[in-house]
Amino acid sequence: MPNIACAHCSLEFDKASLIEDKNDEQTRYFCCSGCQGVYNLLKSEGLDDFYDKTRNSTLQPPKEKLSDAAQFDSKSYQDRYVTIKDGLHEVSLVIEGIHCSACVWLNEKVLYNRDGIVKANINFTTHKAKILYDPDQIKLSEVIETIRSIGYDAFAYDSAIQEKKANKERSTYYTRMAVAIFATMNIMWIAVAQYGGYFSSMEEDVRNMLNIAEWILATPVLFYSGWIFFRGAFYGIKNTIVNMDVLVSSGALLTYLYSIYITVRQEGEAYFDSVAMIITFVLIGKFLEVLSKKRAVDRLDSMGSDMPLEAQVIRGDEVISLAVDEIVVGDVVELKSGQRASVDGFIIKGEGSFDEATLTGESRPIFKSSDSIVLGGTLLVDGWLRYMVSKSFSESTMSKLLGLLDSALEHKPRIETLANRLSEHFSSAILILALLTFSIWFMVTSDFEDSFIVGISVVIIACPCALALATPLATLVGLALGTKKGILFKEAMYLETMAHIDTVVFDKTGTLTEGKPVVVDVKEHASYDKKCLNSLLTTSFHPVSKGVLSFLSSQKLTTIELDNVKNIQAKGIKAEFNGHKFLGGNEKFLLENGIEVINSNLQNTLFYYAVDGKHVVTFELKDSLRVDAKEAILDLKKQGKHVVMLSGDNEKVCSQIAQELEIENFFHSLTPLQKEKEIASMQKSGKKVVMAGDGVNDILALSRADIGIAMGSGSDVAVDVGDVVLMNDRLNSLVESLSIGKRTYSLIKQNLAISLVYNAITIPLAMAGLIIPLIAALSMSFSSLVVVLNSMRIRS
Amino acid sequence: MSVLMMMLIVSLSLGLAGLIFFLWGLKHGQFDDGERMMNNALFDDENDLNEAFKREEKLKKVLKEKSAKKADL
Repeated sequence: MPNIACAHCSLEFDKASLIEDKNDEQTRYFCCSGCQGVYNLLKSEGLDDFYDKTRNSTLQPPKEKLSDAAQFDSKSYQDRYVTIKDGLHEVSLVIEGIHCSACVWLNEKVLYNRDGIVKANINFTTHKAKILYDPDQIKLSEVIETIRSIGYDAFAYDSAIQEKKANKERSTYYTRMAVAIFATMNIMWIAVAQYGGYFSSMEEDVRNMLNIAEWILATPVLFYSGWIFFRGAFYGIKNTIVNMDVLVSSGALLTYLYSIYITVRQEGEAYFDSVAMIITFVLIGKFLEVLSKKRAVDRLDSMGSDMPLEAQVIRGDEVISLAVDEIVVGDVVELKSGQRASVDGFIIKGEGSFDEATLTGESRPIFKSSDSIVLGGTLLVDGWLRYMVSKSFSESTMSKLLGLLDSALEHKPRIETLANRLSEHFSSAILILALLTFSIWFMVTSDFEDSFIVGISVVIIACPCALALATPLATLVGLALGTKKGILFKEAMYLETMAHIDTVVFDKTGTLTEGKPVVVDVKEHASYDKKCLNSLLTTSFHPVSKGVLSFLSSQKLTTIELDNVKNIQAKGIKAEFNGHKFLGGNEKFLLENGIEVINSNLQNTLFYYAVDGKHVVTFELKDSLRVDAKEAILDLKKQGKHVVMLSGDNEKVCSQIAQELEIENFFHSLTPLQKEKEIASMQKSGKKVVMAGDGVNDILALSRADIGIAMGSGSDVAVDVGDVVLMNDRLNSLVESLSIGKRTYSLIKQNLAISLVYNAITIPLAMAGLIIPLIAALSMSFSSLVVVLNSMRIRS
Repeated sequence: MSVLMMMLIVSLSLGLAGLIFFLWGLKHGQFDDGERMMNNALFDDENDLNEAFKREEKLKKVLKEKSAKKADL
């Protein structure tokens, strides 16, 4: 049968399994009722030109409706995420499911169509939205429901800390640069006239007029755009460090003052063009650095969507909602299936299985009943229970983890960049040389003006343009190269750090392995209806069920509504349909139900399926290695890196994987804290460590390591904490990132060498008083140009 | 001489005007989202322009209502 595309999401399915919709003359097909609902909604709102805008791309079918909307209107949620502006409420949302510009268009359109929403601005790159609404006309939950109704999902985040700061810094840099570049470009064409006049004689008054024009233009460059350098120099001197800022600001200021003196005296050559050029070029270099600076991690933000803000507390006979920090020890909290525990405690009634992946990285749910300990931050997958709170929110496991994260970040070693180390010596050397030149010339010629000019020319010629551009340019090219290969360096500095790495530490689950069980073998004992199995599996969230389900998904099966579905924790699922009984689960589950299990001599995790008391099929599942894991490890070893594996799993599983990958050093059964300690002890022995991980249980280790590499598909927190993100999840990219780091570093060294050689040649000339303005200007631009050209080479 | 002076003043003030408009755009967030800037070219038919106007009107109206309410209190 031919495959037909769903009218909404454009994914192709077998025609028989699609829903037919004969609403108007045309017949349309939909893969699910969600897609159908969205399509009809858009149609009725007159927004169906959305489908013209999406062109050929496919969309994600909408998720089933969630019923958590009420929490968005709770006071604690509002307090945390909503800011009030002139009586209007503003909220920042992350919108999930956006993948093209038409999606942004649609979301904005639908939001604006609602009464009460006056501003909805969605960022094309980050998919974060800023929404301004009138709380008298619309509630936050309704805003979010609006987005959900068209098949996307949204949750609020706290934008205050992260973005505003980063954006503000960036935007002042933009303004300063715009002013500097504008003025410098204008000064340059005036300077061309002046240099021309230098050779072909120019009337005195014309030259003075040009000087004054330059003076006017150079002033905002030095004092507005160059303010950053004065500030940097001030803080440097305060801490008795002669940094690059001191050289730049003192050189520019001296030149500026000297040029004013020349202009007023109407004799000699003014150097306003040099002032503007130095400031502009160095500012560009600095801007390139700021551009690639990692945003401060707002840890609560990334955890935000995970952590509940309220809990259902039993007080007397009723259940009330309390903000998490109002819960006291001894309270009884009720937890329903799908909810996350916010505080630690122990179960007093009921049972259920918990997903503790957040804390331990263990993907299999753990069954807990009376007296078992519940940890804050873990998710109740199924079941219902009440537990007694044993620790307040701030003392609970999750909050503690956040505290530890802070201290891990604080202890992160920061390797000082080569340029920084160099510039300190360079700056003081130049200032001393200039001073020496001035005093020697003054002693010899006893002409103050001439000696002063020569002294200043040393500072000007040592123009740190090339030096200041050396690192940012090289790293910028390195960053671009990384992005092209799916490697995201969050800060330029990490490229340099990457070059010093000698130890690579891997987390096992999710990094070296896929992290989810995959069907590796199927043993069919009798024929069976796959449609029923498919339907049965969709009712369970267990990773094994999901593994089998994804194995079946290639056959594009439809689901039927089963009756009497029962999920039995840690065992299996049971359902009925048309008098048939379906049973799926582990061996024990089948035996308990009196079904004879056909032994198939398979190892690893097994999933058994039985129909009407007869065992029909067995699936073998295994957490498989990433395809390129072995190759990547081999490459790393060839480069002489020390490879270590850390895992929360037991020894048996770890040693098996380690053997397969030929990793000699591995540590098993580690808690997140132990992982961090392991890394810290490696660092203590002088190693420079890269840690690659993907889960929340790795975040401590990731932030502690010299460089934390996160898998792009990993948990949001890990991606946030990581310094480098592998967008394509390939371990080969990790090897690649090391080599990009190495290449960038050697390029930085070359660039610095070029600028130093340039200085070694020109400074003696300047000290001898042999530099004329034209040569000074030319050689300065030339050295910068060489550095730029050299940096381009890394691409090849 | 005076011609040169005039040229300088005229060209510099023209450039300055450009700079001021650029900074104005920068301040009002026109360049915050690079991708939007590129995509806006795709969404600029009559409907989109009308839409943009309506959105501004809506904001103004709500703000006016708000301040009126405040005055009442």
